[in-house]
Amino acid sequence: MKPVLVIGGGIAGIQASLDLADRGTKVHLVERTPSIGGVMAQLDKTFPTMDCSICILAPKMIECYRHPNITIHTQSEVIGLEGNVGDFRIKVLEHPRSVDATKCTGCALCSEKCPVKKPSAFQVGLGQRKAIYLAFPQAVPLIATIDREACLWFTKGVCRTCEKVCTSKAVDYEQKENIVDLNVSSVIVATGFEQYDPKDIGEYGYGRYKNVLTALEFERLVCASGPTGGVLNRPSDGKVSHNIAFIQCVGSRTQTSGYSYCSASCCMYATKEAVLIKEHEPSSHVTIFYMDLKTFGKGFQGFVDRARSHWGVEYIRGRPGEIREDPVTKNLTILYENTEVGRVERLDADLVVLCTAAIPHRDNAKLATVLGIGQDEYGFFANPDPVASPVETDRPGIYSCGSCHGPRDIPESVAEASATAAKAAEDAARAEGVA
Amino acid sequence: MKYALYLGCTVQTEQYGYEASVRTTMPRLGVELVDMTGVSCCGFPPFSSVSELAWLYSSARNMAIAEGMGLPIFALCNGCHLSFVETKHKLEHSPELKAKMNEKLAREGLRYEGKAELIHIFELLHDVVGKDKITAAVSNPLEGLRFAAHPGCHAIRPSRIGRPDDPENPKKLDDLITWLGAEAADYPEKIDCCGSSLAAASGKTVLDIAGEKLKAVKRRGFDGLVTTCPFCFKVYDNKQRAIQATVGDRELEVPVFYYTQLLGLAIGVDQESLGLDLNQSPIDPVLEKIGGK
Amino acid sequence: MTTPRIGVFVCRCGINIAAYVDVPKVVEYAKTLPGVAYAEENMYTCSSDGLNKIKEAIKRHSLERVVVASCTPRTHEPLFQATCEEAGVNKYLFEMANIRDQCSWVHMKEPERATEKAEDLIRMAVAKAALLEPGEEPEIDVNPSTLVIGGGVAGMRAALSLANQGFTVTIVEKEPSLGGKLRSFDSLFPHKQKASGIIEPLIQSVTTHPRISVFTESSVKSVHGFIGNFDIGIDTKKGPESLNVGTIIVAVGAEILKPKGLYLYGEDPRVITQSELELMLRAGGVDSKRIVMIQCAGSRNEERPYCSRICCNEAVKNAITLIESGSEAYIIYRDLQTYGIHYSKLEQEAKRRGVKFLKYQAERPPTVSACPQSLRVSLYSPTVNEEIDLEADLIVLSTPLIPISDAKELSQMLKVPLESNGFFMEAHVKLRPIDFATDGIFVCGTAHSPKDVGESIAQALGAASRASIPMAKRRVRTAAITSQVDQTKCSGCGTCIDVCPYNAIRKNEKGLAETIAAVCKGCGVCGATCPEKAITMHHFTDEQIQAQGLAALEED
Repeated sequence: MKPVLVIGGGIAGIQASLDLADRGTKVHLVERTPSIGGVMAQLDKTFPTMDCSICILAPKMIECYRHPNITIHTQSEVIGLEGNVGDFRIKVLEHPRSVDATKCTGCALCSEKCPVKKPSAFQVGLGQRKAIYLAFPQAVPLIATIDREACLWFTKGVCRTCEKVCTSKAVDYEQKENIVDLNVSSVIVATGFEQYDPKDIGEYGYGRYKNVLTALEFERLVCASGPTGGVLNRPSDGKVSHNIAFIQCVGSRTQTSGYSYCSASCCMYATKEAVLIKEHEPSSHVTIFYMDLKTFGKGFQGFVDRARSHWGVEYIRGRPGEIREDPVTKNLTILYENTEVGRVERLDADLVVLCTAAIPHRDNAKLATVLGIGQDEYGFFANPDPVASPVETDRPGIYSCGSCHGPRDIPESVAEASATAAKAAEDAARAEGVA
Repeated sequence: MKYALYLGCTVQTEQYGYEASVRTTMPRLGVELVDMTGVSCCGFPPFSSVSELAWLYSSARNMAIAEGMGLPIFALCNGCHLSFVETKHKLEHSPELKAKMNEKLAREGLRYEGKAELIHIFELLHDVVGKDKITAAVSNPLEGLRFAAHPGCHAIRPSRIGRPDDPENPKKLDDLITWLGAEAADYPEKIDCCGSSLAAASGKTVLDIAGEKLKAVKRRGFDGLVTTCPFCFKVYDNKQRAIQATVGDRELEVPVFYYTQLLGLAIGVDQESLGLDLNQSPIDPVLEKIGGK
Repeated sequence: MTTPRIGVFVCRCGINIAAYVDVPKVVEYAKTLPGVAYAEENMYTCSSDGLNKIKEAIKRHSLERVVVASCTPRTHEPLFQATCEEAGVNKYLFEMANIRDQCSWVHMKEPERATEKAEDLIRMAVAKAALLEPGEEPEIDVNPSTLVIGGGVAGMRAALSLANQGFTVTIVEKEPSLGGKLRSFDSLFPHKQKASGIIEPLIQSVTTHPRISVFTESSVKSVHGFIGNFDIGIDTKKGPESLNVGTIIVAVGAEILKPKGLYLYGEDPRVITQSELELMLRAGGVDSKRIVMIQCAGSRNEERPYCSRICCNEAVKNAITLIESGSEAYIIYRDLQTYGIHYSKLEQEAKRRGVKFLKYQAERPPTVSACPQSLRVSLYSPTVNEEIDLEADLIVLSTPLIPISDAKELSQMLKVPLESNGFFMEAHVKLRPIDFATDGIFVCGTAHSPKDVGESIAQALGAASRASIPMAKRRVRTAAITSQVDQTKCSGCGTCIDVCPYNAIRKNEKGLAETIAAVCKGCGVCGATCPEKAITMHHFTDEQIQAQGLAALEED
């Protein structure tokens, strides 16, 4: 029986891979970044259960890594696809880590000694990493990688400190990229999403005002493995923030800057982050500015009710018109209309969190071309019949799950991932003549 | 650099200080201004709520005259510049409207092609004349003074048709101020409206709104407010005493200047030629600091 | 009895442990403990280097028990267990001491005390390790066939997928025909597909598939057994049937609330529910000229504190249909749940077409009054900041989905839980939304929670995948950490059976409790509950726990 290709190593890709591997199918899991885990690895906790995100994710990541039926290709991308369902011929390009994976122990000494600092993508730019680095402490695989564009050896021909300090002799500057040819029966696309960059919404001052952050940046701030160790030190002066406001629908449900659709999970993750703030410091004042409170999922309404009644999170229905910054204190003032009482009001805050739209990943167009599948008008991968065939793309044998085909939360992504595994299993059965 | 100078109604009929300071400073920076004949009101942006066609026509005919002169049109007033830009944008996107305009313009012997370039004073000074020329021309730097830039709404909005500066974070007037040797600083109320468009609806509201701005400028320790729009200037400067009465604060004093007046002072033009005796806000303390003739 | 030879491996974990705990000191201490034949430190015990060292040490020092003092067993226990097995040591002879999460990470400011605590934890682990026994992991056969309870869209889709994968499926449906709720629906959002267009092909495929058997007008009466081997008793219209299956999928759907007395429903025939409107639309349409739809009718309140997800989109879709046929439509709502791409578009289309939306507040619900000519809906709407009276000739209540009437009975039969609103409760809300905690049973569709057709189908396919895993391999391997009932001590009281969350303990022919090792998760609830102290928890025996406890309290 032929293996299945899963593109994308976030929670959806991981679930699809495990379902298939557990039933005996071989899986090639291709991940673009140095580690699997995706956005879920960057979250502090998950709503509505308030589980520590990485704590529930890491065992699954390790299961993938240790599974005899799963081959993980990190720092890799699919660059070619030919054929049809049952017989796809795939080319995977593996970018070199410049580190021998069989020798590296993940001790991170190289990273400690490396002189070059760069913004860390895992910390959403709020923290730094080195030119040779490990993606994050629970990365799978836990193997160092060199960012050749930052590395002094590759750019200027000097340094090589990492090689000198590595006790396992794992650094290999000569490592080349590698092309792997695969023959698979089905392809599962689970490449996830991106966050809208709110700098185009000038009235909110993102990028100008230091204390205006996006929700993902806030997750890193509040997370114990983040740049401030989970203390809410705001960027401008490090002051521990106790008065925080969330603005929903930033770049969503809009006809001007951004996208017209609702991103589905922001009301809930804002509530989650509000509860986190309250858990850190119960006397905090937290306000969520919303348009319609999206509480449609299992357990969502109860979660919001508790946030209100037990934790005292305040919800104001109104889309703020402007955020202003005091030039001296860097405190923020939000100007809004409280539509439930019909009054224009102001709220002062230490920190403002913008809950931005979940948008298609910028690499979608490239991958769509390689795979020969369609995109919708926004750039998400298209499902021609989202009702009867919710995980099928317009090419037989290629399936999509999770947030690569529209805004989704974790349970939806996990269920859809299992659904694509079922479709792939059906394809395999058909190929073997099981009518 | 030759431009057709479009003064607009308010400047011609009352805001002489703006016209005076423009006429004395621009040539010194290498900008030649050519007067236009036969021009009329630009249509003034709010006029469009009464009659869109009348408004479009008013703007189009002035632009047609400039086209006839073969020169780009330099409108002093934010509102005039916006009228022209909006009209140009509308007529560009609707060949029917454009044809209708030309049908009527023909009766005056005018024709609008849409080729006239439109330039705002920010663009002219900041982008065309530029930093080097302005700083080189400064002989009397305005050191030790800190001004609040008030770009004015019509210079920065609506953003989707393209305005001379960023709608949320306009910087050009701040730059222009610093090129004169003075200090400019960001303040949260910078892009607040002067309120003048509400004059017909509620005079008191205008004074209230303008009062908030003056209070902020004063509170934040600025030496004065700088603008390039005759409407904004009129409210903040000419109506300052009325604002004080409305707000109930006789001490609410803020010196208000047209940018070109400060420009003149910095490049060595005498005070009278800049129409400074027409400013009604208490500018003397600032003038003393600046010195000069 | 000699103490077995215990090896202790203390991990530095880079700086995670070593920066706060004096690892060399701890290693020396470990060597002094009773039974410890060998101790060493590693930079990263979990690295391939570290694992090799464990294997080498086992061989060289003839180790019989292994203790690793490092991080959390949640992530690394399987790794170390596999390593032991590779060196010939049964995996249940391995014990972990968490000196990272439970020590170095939480006592960073007190390195001396952290070191002491690490020593305590290792002493405890060694004390237990000395008493560990090897364990066997039984394998059980899995019958590659599934029982799907419920023949609606979700049940049929799951059945079809499994059948296509080569498994045998039996669908049990209580109504006379397959199709579930969609039989009475007209069109589906967002694209107004005909509901019949979805279920008719499914019914056709399901009823003609050689591997699918369908029992309509039937219901499940009894369930015994465990994953791989469920014995099912079904009541069919032709009499009782029995069945043996490997897995079960719960796809029983949900009911639609008919809120008698709410907004005059049940008292005035001009007040109907959305599903009743669907029937009318299917039949040709409605005569009414002015329709007012009231959202959250019977949901998001104290009695039913949940949002039913689909009602806003249903209302918007139906409102568009009504506008198309010339009526006026109002939707009065609390929060418009038009989430995602397609429903946002639907909302925008409705607004463009002239559907009027008015928000109302939970604390000030609308009131409905009737007069012969029309109905009146009165509400305060913050949208317009006014009290409004709307005249209507038809009021449509958007009511929630509620659990089916026999959900409790079914849940008890299957021994799977219901959550507080009465829907079936999955194993984990985030990462296991389709599995039940009980192995071999899965849930999909609105039985789990309100959802639309696309989502139900996705979850149904997911259930097919989850169920196929044990069935594809035909075998399931279970853990050795299970309970064991001492038959000489058991009094047959049955308390352990009542408390077991996994249906893993049952009465044998002698009327005494007996663990089904294959399904037991080793949670220990039975052991803790048994009044006769007849139950032993393997790998967590009373002696082992006592030894750990005493070791913890030992003074130096």
